[in-house]
Amino acid sequence: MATYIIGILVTVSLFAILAMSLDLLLGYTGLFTISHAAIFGIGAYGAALTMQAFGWGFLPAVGVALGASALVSAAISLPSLRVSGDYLVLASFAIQEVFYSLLVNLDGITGGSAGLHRIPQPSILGFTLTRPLDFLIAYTLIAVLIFIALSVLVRSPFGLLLKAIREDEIVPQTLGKDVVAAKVKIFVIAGCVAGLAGALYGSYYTFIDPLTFDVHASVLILSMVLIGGMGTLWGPVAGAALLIILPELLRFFPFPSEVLGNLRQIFYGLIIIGFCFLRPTGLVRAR
Amino acid sequence: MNLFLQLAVNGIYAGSIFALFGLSFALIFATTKVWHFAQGAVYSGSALIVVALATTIGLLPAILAGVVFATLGGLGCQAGIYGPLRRRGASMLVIVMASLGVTIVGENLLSILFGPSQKTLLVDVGGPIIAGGIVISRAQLLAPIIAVAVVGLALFVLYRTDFGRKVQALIGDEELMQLQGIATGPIRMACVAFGSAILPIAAVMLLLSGTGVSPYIGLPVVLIGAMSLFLGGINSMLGAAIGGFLIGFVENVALYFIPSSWQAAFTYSLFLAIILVRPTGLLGRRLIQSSM
Amino acid sequence: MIHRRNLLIATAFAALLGIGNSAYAQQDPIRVGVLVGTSGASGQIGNWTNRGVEIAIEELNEAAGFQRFSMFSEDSEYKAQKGLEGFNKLTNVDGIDVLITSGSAVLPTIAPLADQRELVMMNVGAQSPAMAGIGKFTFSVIQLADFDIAVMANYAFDTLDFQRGAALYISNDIGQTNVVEFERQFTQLGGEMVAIESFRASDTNYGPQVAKIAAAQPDFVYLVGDVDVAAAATRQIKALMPNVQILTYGGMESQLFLDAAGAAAEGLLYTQTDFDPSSDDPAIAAVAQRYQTRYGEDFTSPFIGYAYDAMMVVAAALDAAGETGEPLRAAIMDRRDFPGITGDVVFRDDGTVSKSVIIKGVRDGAFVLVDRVGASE
Repeated sequence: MATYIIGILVTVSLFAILAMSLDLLLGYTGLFTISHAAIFGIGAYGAALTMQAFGWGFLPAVGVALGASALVSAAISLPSLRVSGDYLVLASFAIQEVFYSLLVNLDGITGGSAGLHRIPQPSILGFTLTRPLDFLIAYTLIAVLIFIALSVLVRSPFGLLLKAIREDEIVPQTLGKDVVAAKVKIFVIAGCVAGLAGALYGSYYTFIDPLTFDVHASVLILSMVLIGGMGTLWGPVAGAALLIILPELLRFFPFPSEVLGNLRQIFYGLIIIGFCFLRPTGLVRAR
Repeated sequence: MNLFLQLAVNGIYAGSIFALFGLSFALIFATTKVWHFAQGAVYSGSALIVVALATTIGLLPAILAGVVFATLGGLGCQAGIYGPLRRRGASMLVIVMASLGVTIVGENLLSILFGPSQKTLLVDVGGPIIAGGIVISRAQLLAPIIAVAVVGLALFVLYRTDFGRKVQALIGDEELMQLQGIATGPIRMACVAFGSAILPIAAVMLLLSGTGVSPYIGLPVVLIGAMSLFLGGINSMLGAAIGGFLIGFVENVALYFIPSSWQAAFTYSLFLAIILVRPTGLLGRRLIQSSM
Repeated sequence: MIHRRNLLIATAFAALLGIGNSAYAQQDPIRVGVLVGTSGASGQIGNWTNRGVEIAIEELNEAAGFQRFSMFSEDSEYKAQKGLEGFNKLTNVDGIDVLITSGSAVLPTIAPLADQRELVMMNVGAQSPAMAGIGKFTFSVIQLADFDIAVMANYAFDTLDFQRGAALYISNDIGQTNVVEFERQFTQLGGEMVAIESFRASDTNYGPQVAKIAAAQPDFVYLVGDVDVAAAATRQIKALMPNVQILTYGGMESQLFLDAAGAAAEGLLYTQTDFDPSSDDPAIAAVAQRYQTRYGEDFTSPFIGYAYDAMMVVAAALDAAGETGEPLRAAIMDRRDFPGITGDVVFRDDGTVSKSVIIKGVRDGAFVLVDRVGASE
């Protein structure tokens, strides 16, 4: 039982990091994108390919992953400078689809639909994470550090600027603030964090494929932020925990195997709908 | 040259169907301001009903059943989910999430009811017409006619009737209408009903050429609809229909130059480029301030 | 495992109390885990796998006279993450003794863990050549795709005398790997692939791809997709090219395919392990009968057969090994050769299976044997 629970908690910590990073865009800055799984994927593929193709260690690989995902995230920020709201939703969705196509079609590099096998486990300073408990401790620690760093960030003047952009872009603009630079910056930061989650993900599961980073993954991360509570950091963490753990609990009900998978998905859908009605601001309310 | 013409025939066919997707999405989006993702489940549900019933009660009654299901499904989403959420003052984001939730529930209910795999319509519609080496199937012949008829009907109602003027007013400024004491609810529901009812029609056009339908193929329908709308210019029904047609046509003809494995990347990149260069869409006049 | 003397004592007790031998044995059945995708578009194959194991266990338990095996099933959605969680649940919570699974995204993630736990794992669905040697405790009861593809490429070039090939495939793992391998084999023989086109899993209209293929005027179209998708593609290919030969692989063989493809299925050729669900062979007939009785539909898909055979291999090897884990693995490798309703199961050193491959086809709306091209190796 212990390993099973530890495994779930590792997943929770990974998605908590992802959801926090998306909330920087969604909750704090008011930028609604459906491309977060793409940035997550850049990190995962960046780190895995660096380790496999160049034989580099885990830390340099993470560095490459961060750089690549920051770069791509900055590129995704470009539409957000030009279009907003409904347009950004669709533009980011298009980016998500293009990314997925690239993963599948550039099979010489990415392994195509078959994905990448045997990704090395994280090894830092001669210590390699192998047991589930190692992963839980290390990944939770990283999640906590990110949480602390981001809570400092959102309380800083920069964080306040982001919230001002969310409320009304025109106001900070007339006050002489560089809204464009702020948007690009927050995309880069969110990209780095999501890319890190990607690197950690690949080295835990030791296997990645394009399906891991498709639009459904983007929607899952999005629903974590929304259910948890936008514009907070505890919210995404709570949302990640809820949406990973609740569907797992369903495994313990004696449903016939043929409808089990469907029932779990229906349950996931009902949670989302239920939250929209009963708690539209999420589990954790922004102050 | 033959290949180019054959791809163009396919492009007109796909474009005609995508025009209906565009019109459907635009009607619902313009009048409810909701990203109706659950439209995908309404689409696949109604198509699955057509396939399931066609062999027992005949194709036309089956289509009618599909239309009834789609209409009820669309109205149900609006009356049961989006409307109540809106009255509670939920943000657009929350309504989008709810719509995704309904999609997930819908897809999986359909999977339990109809099974997860693709079904095809086994109705003999007669062989293709071959003209100068170009093969044109009956479905490919029928689709543009149906599309023009449906879009024409919608435009006629919209621009030539009293009801249509109310719809335009609703799209333009709902508050003003309410101030004038006009009940906007029934108008909105009528648009949702019509927008949903044309989905099974589009589905049948596809099914007639041997394509399959499963509970899980709905999302592209919504996305094509959304892209059509933004491409044609927001709040323009004709624009959405034309936008849809262009997506279908260009996506097919492009295969003359690119391998099919790059088709999706091509379509989405092109769309991205267009809305970045011209956010008002090809036919749009002004950029509506975002509601999100 | 139950100690023999304890068993004797317990049996004596049971006899004293007037309950049968079986009542005692029920307390400790061998736990069989099944980890497949049952939701999503490929859920059908997962359901077939579950049913195959279910009827095998039913049969084994009836033969034993007590509940010798019990079954625990989890959904992997055929994804690495859900697969690992399902695996952890099965091993840590349900305490399974052996695992029957599939999914080329799931197997690479869990195979190293199965090795750590010394858990024997039977692959009954993942055909990617990358599955060879992924774990010491992993055995593939299904033949990996490379051999089937070689047989098909040879058959197309030598027997059918085809020079110009085309391929239409679904852009997922199975589609991509199969077509790359087919192209390699067919061009090596001297043939030419004149068109290779793909479509996404969410696409339903393959008209433009088929148009491009038709323009290249191939002798045949090699088609790879999930059963239902391939059926729709078959109809669309035949609509534009009524006379073209369609070649595909054994996954197609099911009533589902015939129903969805209709008349367009006529003349289709595919590779299959020596599997005939309507055979007079008493073993196969009994399974078909049991399947029909239990689920009210005909036994047609080989995926049911692979799952059934995997369970039977486990049971047979257990008779020799006595317990699961390393002894079971050793017993499977020791014996190597097991009978199966999808053809004899003969394991190689790397845990993959060597089966005879035949060419089958659709004639008059039914699957029939076309050619015996001989066993592998």
